[in-house]
Amino acid sequence: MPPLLTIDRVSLAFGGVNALTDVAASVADGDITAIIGPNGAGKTSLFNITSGFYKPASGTVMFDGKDLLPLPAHARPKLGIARTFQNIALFAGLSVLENIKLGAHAQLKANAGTASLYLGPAAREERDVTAHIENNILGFLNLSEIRHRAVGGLPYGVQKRIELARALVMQPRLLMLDEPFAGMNANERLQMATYIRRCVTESRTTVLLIDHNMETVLGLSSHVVVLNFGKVIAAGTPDHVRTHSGVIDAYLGAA
Amino acid sequence: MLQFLEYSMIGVASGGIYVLAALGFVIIYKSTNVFNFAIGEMMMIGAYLFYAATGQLHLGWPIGILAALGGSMALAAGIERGLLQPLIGQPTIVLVMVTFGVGSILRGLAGMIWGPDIIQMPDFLPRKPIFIGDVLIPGKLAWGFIAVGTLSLAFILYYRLSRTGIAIRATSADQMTAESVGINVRRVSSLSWAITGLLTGAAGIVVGSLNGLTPTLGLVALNVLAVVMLAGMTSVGGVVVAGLFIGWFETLIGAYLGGAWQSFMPYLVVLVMMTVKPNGLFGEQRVERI
Repeated sequence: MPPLLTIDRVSLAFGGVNALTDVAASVADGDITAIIGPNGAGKTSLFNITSGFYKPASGTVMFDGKDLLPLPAHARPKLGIARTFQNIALFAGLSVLENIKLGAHAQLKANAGTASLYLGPAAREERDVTAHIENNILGFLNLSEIRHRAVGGLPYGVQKRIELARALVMQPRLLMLDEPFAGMNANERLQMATYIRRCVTESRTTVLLIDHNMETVLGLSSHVVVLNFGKVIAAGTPDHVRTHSGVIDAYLGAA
Repeated sequence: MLQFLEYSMIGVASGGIYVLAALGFVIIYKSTNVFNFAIGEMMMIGAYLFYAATGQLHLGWPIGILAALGGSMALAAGIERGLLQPLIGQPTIVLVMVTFGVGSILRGLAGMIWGPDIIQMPDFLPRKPIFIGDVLIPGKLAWGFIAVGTLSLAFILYYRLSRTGIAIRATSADQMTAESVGINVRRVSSLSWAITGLLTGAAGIVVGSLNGLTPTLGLVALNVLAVVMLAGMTSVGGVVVAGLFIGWFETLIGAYLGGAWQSFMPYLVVLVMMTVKPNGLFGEQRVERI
């Protein structure tokens, strides 16, 4: 089967600084792929290229056989690409449920006019989304109790779950998670890993995730890409990467 | 006491107009971060369009309202599409100065087309005063208040509850995240301007029929800016409270102390309040996670 996402020879520079140089990576359908690397290695830049916030100077990004780069950021979720952010990016001032519902925005066909009049198909779509959230998302991520709370005051781990919920609402084909384990204790990390694994096994979602903590990620993913200073220094199975000398250097400093 | 109540009712009723225009201001500020100095002139153009349709073309007031609101929306969307979108990425001050320039141009154009003299708008709001107990409210003002109140309420419900409203709120909270869930941020920006055109056009018609029509009708928007600053720039609910308060306060000052006081007292209140609460009464303090 061809990979779901293929990144090929992608380069990106900010001013004179090369953030990414000739990066290639592929994400197999139905698997968990991880991008790891020290801080500043270019992991989030690669995510931002895939979601359309940065335009690379050169290279291609193909998703399911389609060229992603000409598409504006807001058009990419429609293809089935969802993501979370490194710093929690929930909409302050909106409730938990409103935040999660926004995840379905890209799928809804009603336009501004029909949606505001709330007629026929628009109302039905809205009901379907709400039912989907109630039945499949809130219970799964343990958010039922707090659905009407404002997101602002909720604990960090809960906010991370809400962000994951928002990404899952659209039933994405590719779920991109930017540091899903950041700031979590061992217990929360374990719980999050379980959620991610269940997304793959139960909904056949493909996951691409970023982390700098090797151990959590190596246990979870089937394919690992290691970035350092904007270049791919290793790619392969967790076992291959774990014993790769370049990776050990990047993490521990060259001996 | 009766007189105080009358002045109070009149004040609150005129505050309703501030609320409507200020809602238009806030929605643009929230979704695009642009401080729209053309808000008064957008009101003024709405009023002239109404006059052109009813007083000049004799089309009757329902068509006049449709023409005025439609024209105001088109004008606002045109300003956004033609002048502001090409400037995306420029410093905010550039965009603000553009709105300032647009305001001056609109004022000049209105003067060229309709002349500098005050024009009496065709009456469509009933003149018959309304009594609440012994308190008398002039008919036009009362009906004007009912009209702007209904529209404000409709807008707030739309903003709070409709999916489009939620998309606008999401965009104002975080543009990048909004795009990541598939919200077309540019379209939200055009839509916010069009909605503002609708609200300011309606406010303009009411102001015009109360005070008469001149190219400087938009100067009432100076009080709208006071309302917005008092409320805290971003709070939709706060604008309602602050708008009614400024209208009430200004009318009482004018009635008891005279017009000279009336012109600056609202700003004095705003200044004093801002030294105490720099973000306004209901403004949000944005906390960045670093």
